Amino acid sequence: MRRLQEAFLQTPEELSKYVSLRFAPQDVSSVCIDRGELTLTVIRAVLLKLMQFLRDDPACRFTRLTDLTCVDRPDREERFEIVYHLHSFRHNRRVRIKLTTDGELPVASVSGIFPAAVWYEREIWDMFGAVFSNHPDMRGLLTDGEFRACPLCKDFPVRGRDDMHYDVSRRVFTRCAKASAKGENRSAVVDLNGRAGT
Amino acid sequence: MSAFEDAFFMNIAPVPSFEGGMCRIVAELDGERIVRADPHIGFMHKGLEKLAETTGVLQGACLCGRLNYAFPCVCEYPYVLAVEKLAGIRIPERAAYIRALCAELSRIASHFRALARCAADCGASAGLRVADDVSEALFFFFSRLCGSARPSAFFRPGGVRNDLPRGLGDKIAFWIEKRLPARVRDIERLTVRNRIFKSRTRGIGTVGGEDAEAAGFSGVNLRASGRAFDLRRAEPYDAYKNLEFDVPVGTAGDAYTRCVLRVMEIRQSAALALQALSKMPAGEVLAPEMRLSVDRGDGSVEAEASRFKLLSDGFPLPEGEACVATEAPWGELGVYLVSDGSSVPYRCRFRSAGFPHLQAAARILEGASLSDVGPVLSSLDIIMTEVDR
Repeated sequence: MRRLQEAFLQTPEELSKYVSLRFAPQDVSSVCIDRGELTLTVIRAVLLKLMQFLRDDPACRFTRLTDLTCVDRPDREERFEIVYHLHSFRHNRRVRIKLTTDGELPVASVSGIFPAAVWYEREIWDMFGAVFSNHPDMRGLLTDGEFRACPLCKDFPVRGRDDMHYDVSRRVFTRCAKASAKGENRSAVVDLNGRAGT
Repeated sequence: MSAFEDAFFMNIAPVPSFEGGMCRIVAELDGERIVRADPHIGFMHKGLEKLAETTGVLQGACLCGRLNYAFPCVCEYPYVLAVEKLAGIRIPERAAYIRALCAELSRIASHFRALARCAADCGASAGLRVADDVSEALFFFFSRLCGSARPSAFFRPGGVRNDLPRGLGDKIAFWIEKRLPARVRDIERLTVRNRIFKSRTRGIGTVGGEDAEAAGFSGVNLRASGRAFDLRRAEPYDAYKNLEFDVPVGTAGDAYTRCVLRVMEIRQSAALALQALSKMPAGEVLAPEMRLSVDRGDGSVEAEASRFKLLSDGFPLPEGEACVATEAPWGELGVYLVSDGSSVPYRCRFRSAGFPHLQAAARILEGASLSDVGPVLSSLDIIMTEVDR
């Protein structure tokens, strides 16, 4: 029986059919195969159910979360796209799962299913500001405690918003807004396609 | 006496074995036993992902080398593969073999370095001399190959920057056949065959197969836990489809097993580099559409202008997403590239290998003795610059 299933699920197309047979079409809102990579887009409510299914179903067995990241699209209504990459040793296959969130409504944490997700979700909270519910340890990860911004968001300037100075007389670190870029060498902030730069 | 009275906190930092940066581990100690460990990272955070979203892919490939500046070509590998996957560039056969050669030479040096660090954490600093010796030899080869001791910006989308200089292949083959075996025996005697090293590393930092999968392990650390998974074999990229090699797999999953596997992989990589040299076909090393990124063309004004345009503006990437994973010496190094059709990637995500390893180290270290922190962490081969990106 198992061999039959494996033979059945050889290509991404077959895997996508297998998954979409078990989930309602409004739950898995889009299935896309591009350059041999399968992408499933789900709604927030079924994320945990889908993850559990993908991990435990014998024809899927996606036991390893290789990556969890976020893509910021400020022009959309729900600006954050959370992207999960799963990998299966059993079948040597990868799948990508996407969902969107606006950063206010929390996304269910998958750390109960994949323990590796804890730090990845902390990093997303730190870098983008998207929040996760039922997370065991929702602290920042890469930036220091006083840094209050989401540096990987598209509206955050590459060179940062403020500078940090050490005030010798008061013996404290102070922040001040970045000086005007007038007169500076701006070759590093050439506006490529109107996106980068200050 | 309650445990609360006994416990105290200790900052273990900077962990000296982390050559590529530093990390702070806040450990709650009960005597010499670690009750809880909490790695604090981010000291080496450079914002590489943000920077890669502001530059074209030709410059982006140079940025990737900064993930681990000791072995930049390994870090550029997934990025150029992702660009090629997105843009549909086919690279010439010879370039694929040159890439495999560089990657395997880097793997040899990286494994030497990892073993030496592990030995140094157990008190044997002589290993570092052996690793330096190997690195020096490779510096010579790489500086002949691309002008800098660390082959930065050598891998380009579409191939490699230049061909092997005449005679270099023979020199590398001679070194691998005649010089390297003695160095491998040296490092083997200093580490995995050494009685003190064995007693220090056996049975510590143990990770089971299930745990390793759930924690997102990859590379040597995963294979030491009994999972025969090597991306060069499972998802062969470039020349690895045509190269033959064995994948050593361990069962115990402890620090010692990881070191043994590294020694075995050094031998496999040496054989792979020789194979790549002997199977390397003649021909071009850069795809024709990317030729202008290194070549002046016919010297005409038009050629110069289009070269300037290619180098400054880059070339438009087709809209879409590509996710590529490669087998770096320290684990699975991947790139997830999202393009919106412009010449600058919309999102560039580096899947660093050390990130899940360091995350799991917190749990591995629970219950370990304070003196085990060094050997356990260096046996995981965590590169902090790559973890923090």
